Amino acid sequence: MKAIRLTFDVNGELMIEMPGFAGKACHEASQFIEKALGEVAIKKPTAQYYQREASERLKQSH
Amino acid sequence: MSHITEIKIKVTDLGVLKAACKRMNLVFSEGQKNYVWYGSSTGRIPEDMTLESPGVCDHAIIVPGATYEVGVRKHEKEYQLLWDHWQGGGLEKILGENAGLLMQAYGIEKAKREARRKGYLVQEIKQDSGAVVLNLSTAGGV
Repeated sequence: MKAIRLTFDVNGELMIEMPGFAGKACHEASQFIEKALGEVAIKKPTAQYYQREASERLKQSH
Repeated sequence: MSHITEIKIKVTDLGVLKAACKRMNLVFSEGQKNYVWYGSSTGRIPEDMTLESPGVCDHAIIVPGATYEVGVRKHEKEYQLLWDHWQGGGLEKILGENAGLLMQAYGIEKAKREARRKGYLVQEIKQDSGAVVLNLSTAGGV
């Protein structure tokens, strides 16, 4: 199941993790939280993001 | 997981700030135009502040157990939180360094509202470190 995990630390900073989301869907799903809560300080795709993007491109090319 | 985002929380929703105060057992004093800080008791003003700015606010937050208060001032689309972190004022002990615990409470309340509005189920878990995790999910996947 896809899920969004938000971790609020005691310094008032938020980290968003997106287990199970693929590629751009990941950014789209987290946008409402980013927009509601403030300013994005760091955004880093994981290796899984690139793997899935590549896999999606491969499927589209066939 | 496919990406990680770190966000610096900004206060833009007064209703949520009130909910955050309630969560922390603080009193949101709507329309209070001055807040108690070092200058209000001694008349001294730090060099980096102007005569107009310190102690003046649109609303205030009263923190039980602290002698100082937090000022809330609207600046463009954002609400700035103003406070004196001098230890004797008692705010930092309750609100955390740089009022981090108040910002944490605001973030949690805001995220819960926005997530429920989008139809997510929200599960809140408090960690030993003091961090709070919200797991957002939908019954049939997002």
